[in-house]
Amino acid sequence: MTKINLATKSHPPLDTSRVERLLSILERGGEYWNAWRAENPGEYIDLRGVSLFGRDLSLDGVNLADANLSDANLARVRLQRANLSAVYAVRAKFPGAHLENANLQGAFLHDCDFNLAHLGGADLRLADLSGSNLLLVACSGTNLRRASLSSADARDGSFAGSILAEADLSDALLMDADFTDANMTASNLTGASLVRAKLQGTTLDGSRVFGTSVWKTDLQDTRQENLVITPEDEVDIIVDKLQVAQFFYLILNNEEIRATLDTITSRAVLLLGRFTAERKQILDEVRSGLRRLGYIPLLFDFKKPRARNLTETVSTLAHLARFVIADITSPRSVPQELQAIVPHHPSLPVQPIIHSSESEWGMFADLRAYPWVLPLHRYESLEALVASLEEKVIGPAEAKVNEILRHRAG
Amino acid sequence: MRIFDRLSGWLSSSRAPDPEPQPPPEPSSDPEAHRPILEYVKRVWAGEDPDPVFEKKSLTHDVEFDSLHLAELIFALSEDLEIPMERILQFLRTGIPGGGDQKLATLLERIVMLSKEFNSSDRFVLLSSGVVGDRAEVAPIVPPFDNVAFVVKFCGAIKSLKNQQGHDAPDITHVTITDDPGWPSDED
Repeated sequence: MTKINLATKSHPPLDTSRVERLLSILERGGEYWNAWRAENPGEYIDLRGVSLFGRDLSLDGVNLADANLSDANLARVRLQRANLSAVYAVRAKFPGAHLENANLQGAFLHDCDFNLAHLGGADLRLADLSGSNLLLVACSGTNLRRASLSSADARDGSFAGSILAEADLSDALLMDADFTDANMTASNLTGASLVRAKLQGTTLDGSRVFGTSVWKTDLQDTRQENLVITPEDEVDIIVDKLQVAQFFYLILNNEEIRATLDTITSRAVLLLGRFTAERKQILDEVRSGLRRLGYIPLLFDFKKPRARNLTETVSTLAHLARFVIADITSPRSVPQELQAIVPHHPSLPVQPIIHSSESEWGMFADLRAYPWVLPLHRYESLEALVASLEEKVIGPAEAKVNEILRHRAG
Repeated sequence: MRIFDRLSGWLSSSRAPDPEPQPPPEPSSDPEAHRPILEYVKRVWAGEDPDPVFEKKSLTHDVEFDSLHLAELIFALSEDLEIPMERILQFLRTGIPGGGDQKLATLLERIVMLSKEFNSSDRFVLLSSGVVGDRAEVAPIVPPFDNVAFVVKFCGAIKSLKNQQGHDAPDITHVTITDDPGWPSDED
């Protein structure tokens, strides 16, 4: 674990004489500045509004940690390996600046100009770059874990091989950007535009993709499992693959399109169960098994307060599914979900499963009375469930689907 | 648009035209006027159905609720929900440049300080009488905000501050994050 200090947001009133004094020290070069800082560790570094553009200063390796650089102009300044950790730099200008391998962790860089800046290898963990311009920025090999690029404009930027895990990219303009081999696990891509972006070999697992634009996006070898297609204030609906995410959200929210679908051809399987840490492993294994067999697992996570009508959402997902697998071990919300589905969907087989150490809840017998609810499959262990998945879970569900189809045709 | 009456000068640059002159409301004499609204908000958050009749009530005329009660209500919420006061104060101070004022934040700061020695009734007397602070800080809440529904929404905004993380929360000075394999840690 690494502790990252964040830029302070409270600053004393501007004292121009202090700024001028500090600027005169900085103008003597990085080495002199660093020696001075070592002797004056408690000094508030106020460089608000300074301009270092065109001064031919070499500030490689300079220590500007915790400085206030708001409205400063550092265009084209050489700041390679500089320590800019926890700087507060609102509206600062860094276009064309050389910040390779610089330390910008915890920096507050809201509304800044990084167009054409060189940030390769920089440490930007927990940096806030929201609202900044990063057109054609060179960001390859950077670490942007938990950074914010919310509403940033990074069109044509290069982030190849970078770490953007847990980063907030909501509403960011990322058209034509290069994320080849980047790690974007659990990032927030809500409303982001990835039109024509390169995501070859990128990992998107666990990202939130509500409203993400992926027209003509290069998704070759992109890892994209467990994508959350709903906004933060709604229950999580989880699918694999970006294009599928767009499709499902569209039909979830558009009755007319939904009505035109032939659900019999669907390969989606709705998975119901508890999402606690110990239960999640079971669901993950079932999902993997379904994927291997060419199905599209659909998850509905109830952990959040629901904004959308529960019955309507579950019912809509059920409408899209070929069949349902419901793990009723320690069920909590599952009875409620099944109650919303089973009585209203006679064409939808439901395969319940349960750990052999537990008993079904009392009212489950009522649901079993419906012919499309299949006999309960009891499993001894995770391994046993995986081994019997095709034969004891998917097989009976498929057989029931075919029986319903024959009944309809006949 | 103003929230408090003209004495508070909430936002002088964009005032709506004054409506027909009306007699100024009497200052509230109920130190606990915020309590029914606080209890109502908690019930609604717990899942109870909203009461449209109660929410339409006038803060000034029906509930005797003014800016001091609003500050007390926010203070009570911060205690109940364990929201750092620094976040609330920053939220209240972030006004429109040149337009807003900081009277509500100032009132809240005074309540925080007084709460160490005085209960809410005593604080009400001290602040509304001007023994502590400027009496003009306490003002009625004016239309269109003069209704319980406004306070319920305001409480929702205060509650959302609890979820602030990272740079958004002024009280958070550092964050511990997981290391990335292959990326040098600070100890390297």
